[in-house]
Amino acid sequence: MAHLAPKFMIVLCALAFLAGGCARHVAPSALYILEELEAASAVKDPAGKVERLTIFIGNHGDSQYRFVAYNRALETLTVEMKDDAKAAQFLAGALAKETEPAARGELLLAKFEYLMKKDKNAAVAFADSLFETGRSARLFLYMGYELMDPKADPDLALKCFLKSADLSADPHAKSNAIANAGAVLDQQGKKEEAKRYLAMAAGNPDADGLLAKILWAEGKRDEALDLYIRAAAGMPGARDEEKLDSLDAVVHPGATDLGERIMALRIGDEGPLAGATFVDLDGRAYDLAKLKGTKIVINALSPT
Amino acid sequence: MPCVAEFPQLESLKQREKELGFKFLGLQVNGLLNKMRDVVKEKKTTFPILLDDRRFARDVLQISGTPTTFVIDKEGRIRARLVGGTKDIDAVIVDVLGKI
Repeated sequence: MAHLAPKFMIVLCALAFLAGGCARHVAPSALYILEELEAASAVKDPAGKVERLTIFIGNHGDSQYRFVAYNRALETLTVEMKDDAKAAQFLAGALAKETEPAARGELLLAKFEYLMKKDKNAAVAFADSLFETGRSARLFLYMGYELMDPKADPDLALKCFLKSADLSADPHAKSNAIANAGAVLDQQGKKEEAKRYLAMAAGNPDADGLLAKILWAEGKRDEALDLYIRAAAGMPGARDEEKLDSLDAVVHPGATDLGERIMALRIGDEGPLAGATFVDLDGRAYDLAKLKGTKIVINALSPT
Repeated sequence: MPCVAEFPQLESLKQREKELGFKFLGLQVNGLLNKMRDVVKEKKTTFPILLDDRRFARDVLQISGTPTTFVIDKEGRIRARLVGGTKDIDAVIVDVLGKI
């Protein structure tokens, strides 16, 4: 049997070559990469953990999971090792290596979040310094989220959200940033300006819901209810949270078709789902293109 | 409402795939593998959880947070985007599936 094995292998490899298998570079699967990341993160000694995470980043420089590694290494350096100088050095090294705007945005965000915990004034100054060169919509959006707390810097948060909207090419991302700008203005009591921005983000459930709340308080109940219904179409939880059934009973006494009115706005057409391939937690492969002809429900989730 | 809170409803939806003629897919947007496995074990879920290693949810679907649910028709078109969780998310999705 042993002497047959090499011949058998040659036949197998020839078949694989004909199928393109031998010639093609096969990227490691997402599951394999995550297993490696968890193994690096499980190292007990903090310095050893940072070293393993750095090796992971070097091995998977094109994987988005490297940002989890960056964050874990930074957390180890600052929380476990309390070595701010090394953390700053680590971050500077990472920024020198990452050139793509979105990737740099992730790192700058990590630095901002670290500064927010350590020294709020320094974080605000850092955020302010990024407006000239920052090109990541997500960076400004997330800095805005942190700064919109009245105890932080709502004015700068507003500036961040507007910058994020400017940098966002996608309409969903743009609306979300503008909706948040409206939320800051509302929080600051600038109702008219808030209304203007929220109306610009029409179709974003948060914007619709907040504009509805403002209009309801102003007594414009019909207009407010229509907006609430649109908000609940995109954000199903809003029906209970905003007590829409009671609000509807005020505007349309005796009506029983609120669910139908919400549903009528819930279904639209955003266009075709882009193709993509994935592996799941158990290593099974999925190709969205192959699911055409079947209805699909995709739930984007995180384990929180 | 956090993602994990609606896992039981999502699992009950998964159990109706054949009856209602659809495929249910979870799409994990961050890289917390062990945490995700712990949740799956604790909640006893069986639906597949795809690993989003190329930021499909963020960059292509343009989600603004999790959970966000997409309902896609047989022609492969996105017909509903449902932001956030709710205690009757399964009933909401079944309703949408019945109308597309």
